Amino acid sequence: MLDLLAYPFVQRALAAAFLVSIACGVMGALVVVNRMTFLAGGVAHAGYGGVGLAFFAGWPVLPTAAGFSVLAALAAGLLSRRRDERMDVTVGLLWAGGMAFGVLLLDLTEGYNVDLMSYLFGSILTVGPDTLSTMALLVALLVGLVGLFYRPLLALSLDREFAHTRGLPVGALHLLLLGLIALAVMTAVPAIGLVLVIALLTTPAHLAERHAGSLAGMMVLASLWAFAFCLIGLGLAFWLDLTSGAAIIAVAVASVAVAELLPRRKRIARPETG
Amino acid sequence: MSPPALQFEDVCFAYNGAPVLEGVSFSLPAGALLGVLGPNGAGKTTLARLAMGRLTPTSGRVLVAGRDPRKAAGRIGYVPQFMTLTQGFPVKVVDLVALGALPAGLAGWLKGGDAAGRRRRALEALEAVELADLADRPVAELSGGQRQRVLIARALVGDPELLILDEPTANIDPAGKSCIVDLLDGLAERRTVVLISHDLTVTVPHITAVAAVNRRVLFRPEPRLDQEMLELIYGLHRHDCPMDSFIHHLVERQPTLGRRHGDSAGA
Repeated sequence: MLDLLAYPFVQRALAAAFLVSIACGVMGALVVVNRMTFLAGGVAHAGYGGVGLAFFAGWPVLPTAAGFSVLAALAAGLLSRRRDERMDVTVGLLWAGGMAFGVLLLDLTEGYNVDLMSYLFGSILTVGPDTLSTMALLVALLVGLVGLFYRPLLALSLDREFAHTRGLPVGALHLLLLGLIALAVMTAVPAIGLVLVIALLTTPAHLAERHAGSLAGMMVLASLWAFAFCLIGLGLAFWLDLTSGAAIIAVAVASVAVAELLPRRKRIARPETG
Repeated sequence: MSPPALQFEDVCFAYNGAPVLEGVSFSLPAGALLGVLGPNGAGKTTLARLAMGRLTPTSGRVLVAGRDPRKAAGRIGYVPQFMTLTQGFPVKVVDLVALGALPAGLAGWLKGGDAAGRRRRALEALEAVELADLADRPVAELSGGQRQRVLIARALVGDPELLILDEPTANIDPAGKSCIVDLLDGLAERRTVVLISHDLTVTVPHITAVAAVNRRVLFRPEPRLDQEMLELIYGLHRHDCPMDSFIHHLVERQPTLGRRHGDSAGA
């Protein structure tokens, strides 16, 4: 088994899994506590528009798709604010509109010869050095921004009215959160694809919140869970010749199913005193 | 002479063109405890959000200690109706309260600074609401009344000059409600308090001034509800509703119910 580690593509796959786990663990915690799963799905699918744009314009795929997703997420945030916070409608537009935009641009791109399935469902075993470098840069940016804005993002996640009374720019922080979600989603696309990324954002965080004592702890635990899912999924994909992204997500979903069957930690509400 | 703690000058506010508040004018001196009464949907929370600078008036202006409320960050404390916490959100009671001790403004939050000092102040605030023994508990484990007191502690730890409580007893059981009501007197000792409630039995015993809200606002600088206010709040005239006798009873009893009635002349 250790022989496998000598292969460069396996080394890159493990490094990609590590980076994706950090991105999905950190941002997954924020997605779950902010109830933004649907939004994250919309941002992920909008990323397909970025993929189409990259092929149409001949630009590098991951940076283009990441930039496109961030702009789409920010546009959704601004639009929902103008539309009296109808975020669900805006996300629906983002979701389908981004996909349609990507398909149309690819239709208009002459002679493209790409395995689009790898963007939809990921291909962690074929992540190249350039893609890995871009992923590392995105994760560094993501972790740096979350670290810097951790307390404001925590306040935003807990109570926006409170954040406002403490002089925090709630609107700008909301947009920052959307942009960070887009960055995390696009970091994960090469490994598990934009269709499946939502599961790696939510399942590790869902499991982590049961045992975490803080949001930061939830981020760390979720990252560890995500890395475990990636390793097991990768192993299954390698030995059983399965699609790697789907195998990783299958492991994640199965883990949640098992966890749901286990007894939860008992929570005792103390009686009201005085 | 110090400016009023809270001032509304002919304020109107509309959501998507539909008027919510019209022609609101009042001036609340520092140290007052204003009871804001009105039925559900009357515009009470909108009034609070205007006072916090969370909403911008369609016309008119709001001032907190003489300045735009959006520039009064840190001077205003807010206790919402209930904690909007996602189920399972991993945060301890003391950590939640300590957030209120961070200096107002983004720069202070990014810097962080004295974490031990913030924890100490948070513990003191929890002591004030009699929850110090639950400091290291996850917030998710608390009852509704305990959560409400945690929110009060979080607002108090920032030592705000103006404290706005929006229906603080609306979603808790009678025991928790009693505890919150007991806290109200102490809250007003060092600050101006705006207590929003649709529940007359919570508000009446504590206020030094009253505002009746139902799109319009009738303000009285004393703890007295008059017939005009009751008609604004409930849209009723005497003898045409089963609640009438209850309301009438409260009106008749007000001079004895207002604890600070005697020293409310300046309010």
